[in-house]
Amino acid sequence: MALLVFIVQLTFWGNQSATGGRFIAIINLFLVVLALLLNLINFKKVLFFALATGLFFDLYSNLTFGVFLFSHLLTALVLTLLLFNFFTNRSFYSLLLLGIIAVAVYHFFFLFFAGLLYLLNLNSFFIKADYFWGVFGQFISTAILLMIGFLIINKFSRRFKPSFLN
Amino acid sequence: MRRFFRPILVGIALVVILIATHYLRWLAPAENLLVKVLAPAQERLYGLTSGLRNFHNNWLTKRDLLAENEQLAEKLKNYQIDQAKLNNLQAENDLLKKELNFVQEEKTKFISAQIVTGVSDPASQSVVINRGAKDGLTKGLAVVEDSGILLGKIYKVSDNFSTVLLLTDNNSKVAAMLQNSTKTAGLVEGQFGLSFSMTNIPQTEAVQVGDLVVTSGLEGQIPKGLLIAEVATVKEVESEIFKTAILKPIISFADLSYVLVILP
Repeated sequence: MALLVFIVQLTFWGNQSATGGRFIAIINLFLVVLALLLNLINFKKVLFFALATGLFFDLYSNLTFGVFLFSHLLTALVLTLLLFNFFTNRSFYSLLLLGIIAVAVYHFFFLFFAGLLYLLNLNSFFIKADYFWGVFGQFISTAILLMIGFLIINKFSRRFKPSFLN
Repeated sequence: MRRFFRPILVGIALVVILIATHYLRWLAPAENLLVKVLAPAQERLYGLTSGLRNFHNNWLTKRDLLAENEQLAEKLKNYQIDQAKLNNLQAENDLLKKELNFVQEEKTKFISAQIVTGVSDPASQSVVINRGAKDGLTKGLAVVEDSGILLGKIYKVSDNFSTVLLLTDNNSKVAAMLQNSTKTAGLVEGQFGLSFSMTNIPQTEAVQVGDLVVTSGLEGQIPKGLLIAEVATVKEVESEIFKTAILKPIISFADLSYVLVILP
């Protein structure tokens, strides 16, 4: 799953970012899959997924090795803590909110680590003007994809159906 | 919370170990193997998306191409006349060199490479190619398009793949010169992933819109005379020592599938 997310995100959608396919390029597939997996599998497997995708992205990145690893790991940790302490499991609204928070948390950690390494002169780093428009676009695209994912999973599985105690 | 404590610790420890082993180069064989295994799938997917994008672009611009075709046919005719004159001059030049026992110029050595992925993170403009140290690549080599137009430089080299920093990246700097009467030297710098400009041009130098910019050969590994771009506008402020020429790329950096790396 981590391999598939990496290949589609980087090779397929990364290629689309230059022209015309800007909407496709602002989809962050890792965050969408992470939000879904948190509700479907156990925490250890989610952690493994986050670390694996972080490793793949770091291998192909020009930033200091470890920026994506830490960003992915901490995003997964924060989302897990939020899900188990505050949000209702198997709820459509909690999934949607989780996805939106995932985007904010992920970019916060990414900018934090990349910026910190820049300040320590270990990294060359700049943000273009349209970076934050891209983040805004990711909020919308993540919500849309999570909606679609929820509907599909709900159709074929009972994982997202609430269980009532009699 | 307690049940998460151990996995969190293990996760953080794993990240620290991975980073440490990466910088100690212990992870290099595994990284190279991983990239080698992933490369075929990535190449096919990248080729597929490039094909889809090209189909879309071609379909949209078909009518413009017909009009442009007529203009180009006319230009071609004129260039063919010029080519004939150049051929005569070349033949005469060769004869004169031979007679004066000039040293033969070395042929340029290059290796072709396929682009495996596009831009890998939002903070840089780079591509990854499927050639690395095993193919003789080193950091700083020039990467050009088929027709010899400079695209960027090799930035990072591993055994089987390399990262190419495109000219539009903010960290890209190439020693260049204008093809004007005084062969003005300067530095072509990337501008935040959007375009690039030539800086450090003395105020006394004449720069005109349309002047071509080529590599100056002052960087050891980049040959002289590689075409980079042409001057679009000139920004000069009287109080400053240098002026800046904003450059217009001759080719699109988006439609790249194969590149050539010039070997030393």
